[in-house]
Amino acid sequence: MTLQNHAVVLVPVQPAHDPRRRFVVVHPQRRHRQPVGMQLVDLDASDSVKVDCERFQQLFQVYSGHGARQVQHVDNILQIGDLWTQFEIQGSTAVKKKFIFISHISMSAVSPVQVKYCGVCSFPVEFCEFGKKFKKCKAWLEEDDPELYKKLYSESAHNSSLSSEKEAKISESLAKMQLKEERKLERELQSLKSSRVLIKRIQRTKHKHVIAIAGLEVFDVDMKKMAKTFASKFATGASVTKNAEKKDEVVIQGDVGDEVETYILGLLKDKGLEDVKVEQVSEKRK
Amino acid sequence: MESFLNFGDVDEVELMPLFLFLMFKKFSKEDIHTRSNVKSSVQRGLKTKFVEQYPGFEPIIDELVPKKSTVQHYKCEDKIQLYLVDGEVLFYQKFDELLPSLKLVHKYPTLFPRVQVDRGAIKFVLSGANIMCPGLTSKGGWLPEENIPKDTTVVVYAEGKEHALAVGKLLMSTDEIKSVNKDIGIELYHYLGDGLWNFRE
Repeated sequence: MTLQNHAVVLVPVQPAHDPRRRFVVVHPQRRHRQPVGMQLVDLDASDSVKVDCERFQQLFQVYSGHGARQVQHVDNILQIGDLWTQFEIQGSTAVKKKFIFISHISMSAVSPVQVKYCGVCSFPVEFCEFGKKFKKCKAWLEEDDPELYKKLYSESAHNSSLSSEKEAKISESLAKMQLKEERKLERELQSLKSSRVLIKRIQRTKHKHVIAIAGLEVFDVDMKKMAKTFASKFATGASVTKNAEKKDEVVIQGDVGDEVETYILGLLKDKGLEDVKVEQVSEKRK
Repeated sequence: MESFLNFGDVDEVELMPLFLFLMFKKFSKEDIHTRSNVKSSVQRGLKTKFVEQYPGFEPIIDELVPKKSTVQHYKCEDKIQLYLVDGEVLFYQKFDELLPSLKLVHKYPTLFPRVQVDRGAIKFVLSGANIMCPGLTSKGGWLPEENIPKDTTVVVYAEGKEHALAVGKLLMSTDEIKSVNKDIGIELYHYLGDGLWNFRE
């Protein structure tokens, strides 16, 4: 249940033990319920129930954590961002308002916020500039959401409390990091391309062979899933075992070397790694 | 513990937390030891516990964790526990307290206590550093007017940014942060780009 599009009413309450008048902000449909986790808030004493909106605005800013531009008041209606549409403040004028409880209910009038995440670095897009692949992020966003891109990366968008000197320092170190990361990625790609997949054909008995595939781990594939697909593909047993060098290998029962080779070549092609060598060797049983 | 560390005429040794742990700086699939589905009764208990900690979630907890959903419980290295609802990590816990994941914080930003760091600190926070007081008290930082007590879990925002970038625990109350203004103010639990953030099944 969300409380959007509902007015929230300030209900005067007076606990027996306390002579001070209070208000509780409750959702109209929930008036019968005692609000949970209330927070005592001091509102400047004023006699009418017409709440000092100015003050209220500040309080809501504190509680909601929203900036001033999102909390505005027009007459007696507080407009609090687009999260809680409106808070209408009503009440009998006879009540002296000294304290106001703001219950958590008033703040739960929230529907989930949709955050736009970057498709490259997975951060919310505004944090891309601190990510490691800023250039790629930027290109991605320009394509994905040009309007947001303009908003984020236009010249005027930067307003910082830091001096320009410090700002320059930050961007410099960021640039450094990003450059480093780029180089690292490049190197990784190189080493990926120079790596190779070894398909070993190992004799078990005279006419029976198993196929062991080594060198797959660098390509970021799930070995177990790989074994499973092979098992169902060739209707044999396939498993993941550690070889002599303590590296994972997919071992498939049956002489299926050629089929495996074509499959892996196809897989690498999908990943754009056509240069990777796939070799078949046969191993004699000792 | 404290008396253990007091020597002779030194009345009060200011204890700098020496073993600040970083939960998810390094975290990957290998750190998960057991995975199990959570019984519906346990699920209910989990929900009440979370609502107790964050009362603002009371009306929406059923939306967040529907009755029919599958909740999974991952026990991980270092006694870290993750709770996944329909395949997405919503909570994790190290000790008793349930902590919200950043995805959850992004969805319901108003329901958590918040603090803000200045722009200069973002870089360090995103590499997993604990937050120093000056980053919170400087011009770009922001602390709520009223005091937030020590050990509260807070969500960290950044100057000029709309969304949260980290979740951490206050090592001193916000009033103390304002007055002392040095050393570590917030111990970081979870931040953008850490192991949990990048965690995918």
